[in-house]
Amino acid sequence: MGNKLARRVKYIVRVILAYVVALLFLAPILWMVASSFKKRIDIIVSPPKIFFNPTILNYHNIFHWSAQETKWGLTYPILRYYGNSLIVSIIAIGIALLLGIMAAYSLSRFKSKKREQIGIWILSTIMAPPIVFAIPYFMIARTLGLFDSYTILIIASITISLPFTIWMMKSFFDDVPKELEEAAYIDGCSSLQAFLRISLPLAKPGIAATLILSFIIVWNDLVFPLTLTADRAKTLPAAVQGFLGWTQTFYGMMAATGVLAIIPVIVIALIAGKSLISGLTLGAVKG
Amino acid sequence: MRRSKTLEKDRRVIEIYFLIPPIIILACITIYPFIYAVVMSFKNLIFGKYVFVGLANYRHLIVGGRFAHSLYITMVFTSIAVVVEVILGMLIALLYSEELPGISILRMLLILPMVTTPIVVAMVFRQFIYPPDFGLLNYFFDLIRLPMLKLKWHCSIRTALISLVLVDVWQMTPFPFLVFLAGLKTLPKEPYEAASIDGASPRRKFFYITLPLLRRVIMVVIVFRIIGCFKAFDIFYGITGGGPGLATENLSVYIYLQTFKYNRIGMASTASIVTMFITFFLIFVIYKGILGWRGKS
Repeated sequence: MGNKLARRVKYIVRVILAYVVALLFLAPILWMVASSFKKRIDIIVSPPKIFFNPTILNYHNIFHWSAQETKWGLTYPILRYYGNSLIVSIIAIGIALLLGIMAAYSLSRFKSKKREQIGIWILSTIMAPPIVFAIPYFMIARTLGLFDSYTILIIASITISLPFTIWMMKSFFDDVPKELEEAAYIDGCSSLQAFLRISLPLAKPGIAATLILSFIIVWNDLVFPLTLTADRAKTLPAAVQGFLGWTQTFYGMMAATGVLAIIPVIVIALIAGKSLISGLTLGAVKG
Repeated sequence: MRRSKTLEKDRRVIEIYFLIPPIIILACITIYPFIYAVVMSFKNLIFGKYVFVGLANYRHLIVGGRFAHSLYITMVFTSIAVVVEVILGMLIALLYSEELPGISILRMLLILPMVTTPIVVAMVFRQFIYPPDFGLLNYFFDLIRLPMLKLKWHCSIRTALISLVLVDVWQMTPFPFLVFLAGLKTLPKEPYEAASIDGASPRRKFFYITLPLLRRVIMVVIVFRIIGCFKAFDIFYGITGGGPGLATENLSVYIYLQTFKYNRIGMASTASIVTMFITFFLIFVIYKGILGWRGKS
């Protein structure tokens, strides 16, 4: 009897603990969402206000500022930054996916010492801090007159997304059994046909996971937009800190921009969570 | 015979032509900047012109001490963050591996910190969580009656680095958690049943069955997190920008500040090259370590 009670208590403690952990991990995001609906007076107050009168003033201001110059002399074309983020991410992951699948398939199907060295080189470009590439890119962009253009930002973003795609897709192709392709050769398929009709369709879940992950990585990237753009090609992550003024900080608008910046990735994570998790755990669990 | 020859030729399409274009493009966009940085590391801006100065930048990098300090900060940050994240991730994975009401939704929600834009996270912590006077964290410690934990967080030299570690732990612990959760699901049941018959306590089961079985997974997670922490820039730049003083100036922030604050491209390039070689060294250690370890088991 006492044993049963103890087990029951243990179970309840577990449930409470699980929910507390989840709350702790979500609290900063929820707090930002709440702050984006607060007036300035409700944000800078001690103790912080959990309950408050919500207002959409911050969101209104962001879009209003994007339309015209304000009395602070600050323009903030958020819709353009949003568009820039989308254009750069989509083009960079598209090119990386096309090239990455080809390289990954070849690396997965043929092994040699030289190919292993190529693998290590790809791994080292994944591992190197992106700022290491950003400084030469900054200089090159300035001498070529490409500073603050889509071209240089997309090229720089491919240095992140291409090695990542190759590396992810290779482990997905490693999982596609070779026997299926060999069966296709016997039936008279060329190797290109075998790739297009068998391996590629079988790796579809892998492609989905790779697409999602590389979109998140490129969308979230700060280093390249920060170093390679000033305004025209600026992306949303580089714009978030724009509200950190010398004289005052626009807390509410910063929170609102943050919310807008993370909506795409959060929505993708919630819709395609399964695919995302499979991509994230793939390398580690099977290796 | 002839058929196999055409097949051989046919296979080379995949072997060679699939690999060459991506590799050439990757080489252009990664090796060219690298070479550019190597050239710039031998030059300095003197009276508006880049002049060849030999190894002066390298000498300055080593003698100056600021680069070494940033390397030290990177190492401290990485070691604390990785240990905390792996242990915490394992604990949460154990907690979440059991069937509790609504657990699948909770598992899903725990991914969110990881996908949130790091610079947004940095701004949230800097402006809403850490401020000593109206921040959420100090209010939280007030609520649970732990006033001695009411610190100045990112504003003080003594706690700035720990504050950044805390942000990284908040954001990246979901990664070890997810991987360990997936790893726990793949474990065989038999050893546990056998251990139960022998009357082993849950703790002993964890240390003598679960940990050894997950050893490989844990290794891989540690490697991934070392890479992630080594590259960290966004939260450093966003929350403290390297300050106060030099308390949180890691490698990436050092390179960034050399370029955009002090306008010393030569020094920044030199630091980039050295960082690149540190990366190669790390890769070598990790690669050899994991390979050697794989060979043994």
